[in-house]
Amino acid sequence: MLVLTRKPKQQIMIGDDIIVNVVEVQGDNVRIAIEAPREVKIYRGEIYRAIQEENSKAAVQPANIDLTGALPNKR
Amino acid sequence: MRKINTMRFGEIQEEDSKIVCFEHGLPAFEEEREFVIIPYDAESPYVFLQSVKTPELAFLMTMPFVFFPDYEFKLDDVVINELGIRTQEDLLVYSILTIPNEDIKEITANLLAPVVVNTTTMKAWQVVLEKSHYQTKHRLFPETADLAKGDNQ
Repeated sequence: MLVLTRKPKQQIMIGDDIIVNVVEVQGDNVRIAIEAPREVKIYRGEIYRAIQEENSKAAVQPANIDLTGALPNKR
Repeated sequence: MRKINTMRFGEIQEEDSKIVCFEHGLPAFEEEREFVIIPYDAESPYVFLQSVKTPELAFLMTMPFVFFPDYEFKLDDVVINELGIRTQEDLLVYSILTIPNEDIKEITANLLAPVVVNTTTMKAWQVVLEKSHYQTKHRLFPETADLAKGDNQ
């Protein structure tokens, strides 16, 4: 892992085509602007992790699932 | 035809054209690229998303609009282009379900990350709705959840 210190308005280049701009720092918050090719997927870490976690739980299902009565309620 | 070993359904045969391709896998299952969608039964809104290579991996999914009529989201151009979506008729949307404590009444749907399938190209993506207010757990049966404890049904 690379750890480095940057000041507002400074950048980090990742490979040839990803630029991470440190826009501003206000107290606990760091505003970051990322320039990357469209096909590069960028997620907030905690959101992606929440989905990984939920998928991991969803992958473990009871062997017998009886959904016969589990229908939407008429609204 | 492809022979697919599954834990839930035994050995099944599917036509190549029925295999759904997730080019990026799914979060936490990034290496799982090929799945088949198997209906729970003909009348039901539930389906299984069965992995082609891992017999024990099958997600339970539902069509979210059946339970959440107001559910809505916007697909960004990257998803639309990558899946090759031309018209809305190409599109199927599913939500992956989790069954806590093996209790159907507590079943939850992940509305934050819908599975979007282009039925023409058979490409799919579990899309992360970064800017939405949806969560990974929305109860399908919120009304029954509270009653369930004192109820034998």
